[in-house]
Amino acid sequence: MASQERFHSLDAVRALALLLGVALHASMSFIPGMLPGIWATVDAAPSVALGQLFFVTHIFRMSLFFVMAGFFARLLYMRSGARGFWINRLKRIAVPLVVGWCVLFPLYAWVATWGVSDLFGGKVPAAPQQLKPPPGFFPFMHLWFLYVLLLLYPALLVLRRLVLALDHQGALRAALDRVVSLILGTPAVLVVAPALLGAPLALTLYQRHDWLYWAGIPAQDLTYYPQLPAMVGFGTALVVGWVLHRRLELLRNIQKLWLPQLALAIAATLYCVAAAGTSFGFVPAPLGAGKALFAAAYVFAMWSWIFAIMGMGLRFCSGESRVRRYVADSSYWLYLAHLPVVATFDIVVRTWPVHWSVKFAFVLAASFAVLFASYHLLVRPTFIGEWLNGRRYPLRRRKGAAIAAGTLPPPATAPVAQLAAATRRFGTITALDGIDLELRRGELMALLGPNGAGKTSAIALWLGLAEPDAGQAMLLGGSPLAIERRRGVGVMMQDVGLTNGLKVRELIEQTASYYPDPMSVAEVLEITRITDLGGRYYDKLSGGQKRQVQFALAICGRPAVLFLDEPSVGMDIAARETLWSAIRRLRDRGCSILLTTHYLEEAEALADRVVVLSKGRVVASGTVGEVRSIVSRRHIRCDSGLPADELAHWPGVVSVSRAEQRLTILATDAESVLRRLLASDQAVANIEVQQAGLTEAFVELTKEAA
Amino acid sequence: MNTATLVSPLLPTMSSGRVLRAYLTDAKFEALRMLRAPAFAIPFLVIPAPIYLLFGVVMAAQSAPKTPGLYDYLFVGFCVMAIMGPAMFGVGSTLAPERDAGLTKLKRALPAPAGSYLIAKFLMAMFFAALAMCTMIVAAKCAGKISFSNLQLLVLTITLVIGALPFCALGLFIGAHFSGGAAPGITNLIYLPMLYLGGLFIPLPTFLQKWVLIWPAFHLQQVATAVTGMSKYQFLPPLMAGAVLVGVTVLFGGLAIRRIIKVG
Repeated sequence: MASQERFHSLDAVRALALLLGVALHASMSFIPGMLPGIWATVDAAPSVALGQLFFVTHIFRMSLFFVMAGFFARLLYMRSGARGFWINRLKRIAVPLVVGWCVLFPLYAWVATWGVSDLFGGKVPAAPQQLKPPPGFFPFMHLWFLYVLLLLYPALLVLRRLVLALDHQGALRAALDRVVSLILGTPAVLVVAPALLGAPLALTLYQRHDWLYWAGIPAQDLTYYPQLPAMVGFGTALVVGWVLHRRLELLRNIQKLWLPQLALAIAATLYCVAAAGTSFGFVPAPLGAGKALFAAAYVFAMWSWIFAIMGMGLRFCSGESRVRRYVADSSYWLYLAHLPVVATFDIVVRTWPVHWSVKFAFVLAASFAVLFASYHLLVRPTFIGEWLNGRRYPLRRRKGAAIAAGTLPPPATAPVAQLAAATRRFGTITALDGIDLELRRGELMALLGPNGAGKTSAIALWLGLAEPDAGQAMLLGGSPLAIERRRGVGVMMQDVGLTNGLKVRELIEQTASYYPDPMSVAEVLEITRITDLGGRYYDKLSGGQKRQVQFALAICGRPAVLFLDEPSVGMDIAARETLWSAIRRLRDRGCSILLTTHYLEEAEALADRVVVLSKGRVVASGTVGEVRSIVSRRHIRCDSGLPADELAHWPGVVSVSRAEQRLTILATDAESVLRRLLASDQAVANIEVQQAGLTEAFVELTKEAA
Repeated sequence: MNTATLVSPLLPTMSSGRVLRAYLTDAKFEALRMLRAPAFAIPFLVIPAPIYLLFGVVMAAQSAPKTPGLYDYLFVGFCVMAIMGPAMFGVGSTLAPERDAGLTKLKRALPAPAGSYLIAKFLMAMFFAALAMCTMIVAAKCAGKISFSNLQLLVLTITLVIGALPFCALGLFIGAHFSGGAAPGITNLIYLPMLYLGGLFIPLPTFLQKWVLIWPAFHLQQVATAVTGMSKYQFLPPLMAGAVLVGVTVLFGGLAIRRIIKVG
C-alpha cells in the first residue's frame, strides 16, 4: 500500500464506525427495561434482539473509531507538522464540539422533553435515582467523543515527545517496533494482541463498582471529569491507530487474518451475550470470577472486532468507489447531526401497532433519508462541508468535468500502465521478481518471453486480477482495482472460455454494456471483419474464430489501453492479417497496446518497443532493432563440402546445420569464421551473410538469463 | 470511421443508468441462454407440474379426505421443489465449468460492474423460479384441488421467488468449490436427499422427523406455509425459519464469493 495513496478502505471503516453509532442510538428506545430519560423515548414494543444488537455494536464501534482516529491523526501530523495538526484539529474537532453542542443541545433537549412527556401522558416526572447528575456534570450528549479526542491528542503527542527525548539512539523505538511486529505482524494478532491490548481496560472495568455489563465502556457523556475506562480504552485504541500508520506493513497481516479474527470476535461476543443475559437493568455486577471473566471476554471481543473489521475493510474495500467515498465524506456530518433526528422518529413510531422490526427499519430509513438529504443540500456544497471535510463540492457537477471522485486522469506524459519493483510469487515460484515495467501512452509494446517468464502474471497485476506481493501495479495513474480505471481498458486473455449458448453479437452487446461509451455491435463486427459470424453461436466456432471474437470483445468499449495476451494463437494467415491491421489502426488512433506473443514476427511487424522477460525479470528492452543488436549474431549460408561437425568446433561458431550442399552457420564473429572458411575450402560458393532476426536474439537472451 | 471513435478518453465516467443497464444486460443474457439450453429448461420448467399432478393430486386423492388441507400442503411442497431446482442447478452447474474456463477471471478483468456476473445468475434463477411457479399454478388451477385465493398464490409466488436465494447460495457454494465435471453430481447429492428428508411431501419416519431442521427446504416450506396461513402445518416460528434461510444465504454465499475472489 503506498503511503501517498488515499486509504479508501480505512476511510470506509471509519465511516462504518460512525454510521453504526446512528443505528445504535436508533435502537435504544427498543431496549427492554430502558429507563425513561436515558433516551428520548421508550418504545411500546421492546425487543430483546435489538437490545442485544445494541450490546454487540456497543462493544467495539467507538473503540474502532478511535483506532481510525489515531491512524489518521498520525497521517495528518506527518503531512502537516505539529502546527498544521493543531490548526486542523481545532477546525475539525473543537469547533464542531462547541458549535454542534450549542445547536444540538437545545434541539435534542426539546425533542427529549417532548418524548418523555408523550411517554407520561403530558407530564414530565422527576428523574429517577439512577439518573442523578455525576460530579462535574455536563451533558455532552453524543458529542462526548470529540471531547475525549481533545483530551487524548495532547496526551498522545506528549507521550511521543517523551519517547523521542528519552530515546536519542532509537534503541527503545527499535525494541518497541520489534514487540509491535511480534504481536501485530504475526498470527499473534489473533489472540495475543486482543488480550494484551485489552488487559488495561479489562482491569479498569473490573475494579469499577458501578459497572453495568450492557453499558460497555462507560461513556464520557455526562461529566467533564476524565473517566478512567474511557481514557484507558480509547487511549489505547488511539495509540494502536497511530502505531499502525507508522508501520503500514502490519496492515497486510490484519487483512490476511480477517476471517479467523472474525470467528474469534463472534465466539467471544457469544460468551458476552450469554453472560450479560437479556436484562438491561441498573444493578452492577458484584466483584468475583464471573465479572473478571466477563471483563476479559469483553475486551477480547472488542479488539477482535476491531481487527476483523479493519481486515475486512482492507480486503474488500481497498479500491475507489464513488458511493463509498460519498458515504465516508458524509459520515461525520451524519453522526454529528443524527441525535435529534433519530430521537424524533423513535418518538413518532413509539405506539405504532406493528412489529418492532418494521418500526426500527422505518426509523433507520427515515433518519438516513433526512440526514443524507441534509448533507447533500446543506453541507456538501457549502462552507460546512469545507469545514468538516476540507472540501466543498458543487451541487451540480459541470458537464464534461464529471470525473469520478479520486480518479483523476494521469498527466499526459505519465505511463498508462506501470509496474514498480513488483514481485509476484506462487508458493516457492517467483513469477515476477521486483520488475519495473511501463507501457507509455500511445505505444505498442510487445512483451516476449518463454513460457513461465511472467508475461501473463504482469498482465494479471495490471488488470487487478492479482495484487503484487511487493511493489506496486498502477493503471491509468492509480490502482487497477478501481473499476473506473478498468473502464478504460480492453482485454483479450489466454485460454478463456466465454458464456455458452450466446451468439457472437449477443456477447458483444453484453461486453459493450460494461463500458461508458462503447461502439455499436455492427461497428465492432465490421472493424474486426467478422460480420458473418455475428449470428452464430460462439461455442460452435473454430478456435481461430473464437480468438477473433475475443478480440472484438476487447475493443468494443473503445479502450484507451489494450492488453492482448497471445492474440493470434490459432488464427489462420488471413485472420492474423486482419487482426494486425486492426491493431495498427488502434495504435494510430492513440490507443496504448500491450501485446504478449510467441510469434516473434508479430512483434517485429507491430511493436514500437520490445521487452524481453525471463524468469520474472526484464532481460532486454528497446526497439526491435535495438534488441536484435544486443546479440550481434549473423547467419552465414554457403555451399560447401566441409563436415558440419568439424565446423561446429571452430571458435566463434554457435551452431551449424546442413541441408544437402547448403551449410547454415550461426556465428558470433562472422568475419573470422568467413576468413577461415575461405581458407579451408577453395570450392566454397554462394556465400550469403545475414543479421540474425528477433527470434535468435530472443532465444539467446532468454537462454543467458536462464 | 473518424479518428475519435475507436479510442475513448483515458478515464471516462459511466452514468448510474448505464451501470444499471449493464446489470440488466447480464441478467437478460443469462436467462436467455438458459432458456436455450433444453437440458436445463425442460427438467425445471416442464417436469415439476406433471410430477405435482401425479403425486400431489392423483395419488393424494385417497388420503386427502382424512387429512384436511393436505392438497394445499402438498402444493406448497411441490412449489418449493420447483424453485429449488433452477436455483441450485442453474447457479452451481453453470458456475463451475465457467470457473474452469477462466470466465470469472475475465469478467473481473473486464469492467463488469461489481458482482454483475453472480447477480445475473441469481436473477436468472429467480426468473426461472417465477416461470416454474406459473406452470405449477396453472396445473393446480386445472386440477382444482387447492383452496388458495389468487392473492395468496401471488404472495406465495413472491415468497418462493425470493426464497430461491438460499438455494442459489448453495448452488454457488458448490459451483465455487467443485470442478465443472463434479458440480452437477454434488448438487444432485444434496438436492435429491433434501427433497425427501426436508419433509416437503412424503411422510417421514419418526427418527428422521427432527432432522428436517437441517434442510433449508424445510425452512422455506415453513415460511411458505406461514404466508399462506396454513397454521396446521406450522412447526417453526416463521421468523426463525426466515432467519435460518438468511443465514444459509449469507454463509454459503459469503464462502462462495470469498473463494471466487481468492481462487477465481
